Amino acid sequence: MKSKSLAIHYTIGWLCVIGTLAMVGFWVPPEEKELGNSYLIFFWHFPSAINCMNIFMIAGVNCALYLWKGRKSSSDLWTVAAIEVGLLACSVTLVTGFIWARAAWGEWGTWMFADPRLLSVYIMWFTYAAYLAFRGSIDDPRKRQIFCAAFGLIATINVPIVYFAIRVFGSESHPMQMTAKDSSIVVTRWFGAAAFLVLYLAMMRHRRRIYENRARLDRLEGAFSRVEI
Amino acid sequence: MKTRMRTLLLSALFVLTSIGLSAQNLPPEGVEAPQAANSAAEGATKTGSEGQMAFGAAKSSVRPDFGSYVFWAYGLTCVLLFGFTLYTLVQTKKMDERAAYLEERFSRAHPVESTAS
Repeated sequence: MKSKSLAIHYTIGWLCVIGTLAMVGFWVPPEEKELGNSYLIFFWHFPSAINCMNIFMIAGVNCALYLWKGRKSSSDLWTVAAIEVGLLACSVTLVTGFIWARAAWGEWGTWMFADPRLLSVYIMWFTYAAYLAFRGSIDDPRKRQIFCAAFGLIATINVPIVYFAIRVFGSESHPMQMTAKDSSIVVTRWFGAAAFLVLYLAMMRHRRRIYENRARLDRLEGAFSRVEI
Repeated sequence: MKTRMRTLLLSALFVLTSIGLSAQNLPPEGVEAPQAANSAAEGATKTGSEGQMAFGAAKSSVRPDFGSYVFWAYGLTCVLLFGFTLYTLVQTKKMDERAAYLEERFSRAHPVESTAS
């Protein structure tokens, strides 16, 4: 039952992403007045960017729930699943961003302090990568859950900073707002964001199931060792 | 641990590849002069204090062709998403098999305990 609903969720997610691709291919104008056809990268760059922040916020909420609501391991599982998928979305954002920057600005990215949003995204990526490394370094499950929840909660502070970086620290390359007169651009943009969100949520559910199974395996192996002793 | 390390390595690989390419300062493929578009693109992307970007359809095709960039951006995204999905599916299958095997072994070795539990 669980597998079936996950499979349906995945199928809907992929179909929505393919739908976005079709809209980009057949509906939106093929060229933008300033950026040429390189602006098409935006339709996959933006959904991943907005959703990586959404997913990291979900992870943060789960960390808070874990710490303040009875320390249930379910919240911990959702946190690690969300961070893995969020890191994937963040990587997609960076990869598409690098390529778009090369096309639009002639360079692979404005490095470090020149662009506050880019800098904050780098920090976010490395923080969550560190979370996964940190998680793998603690053997005791109880300690791991508590320390990782605290780490995840602190890491979440950076997410609103990424969003408001331009408003707070000034604009360099990234715009704070994007507008479009063409309705096809607006609809494709938000449909893409929703499509990627559905897909990423399916991935999150799947990752959570893996961690659930891993816990089950640990219990079985524990039972084996007890009986053998 | 292994899973996390693989995910981490996969993500790091793409970032490092991009950094490496940047360091090499390779000329763009299939584009005559993307820098030619830079001055025009700056108007749209390096917006100073306004922080706004307004998209609008081009009246005529005067920009260089960035098709290869679009191809690579979409292609790499697909590779990342498909790779992650497939990797997760394979991992799930292996884990289910391992759990089923252990459960079966456990029930064969200790039928009373397994039925009691």
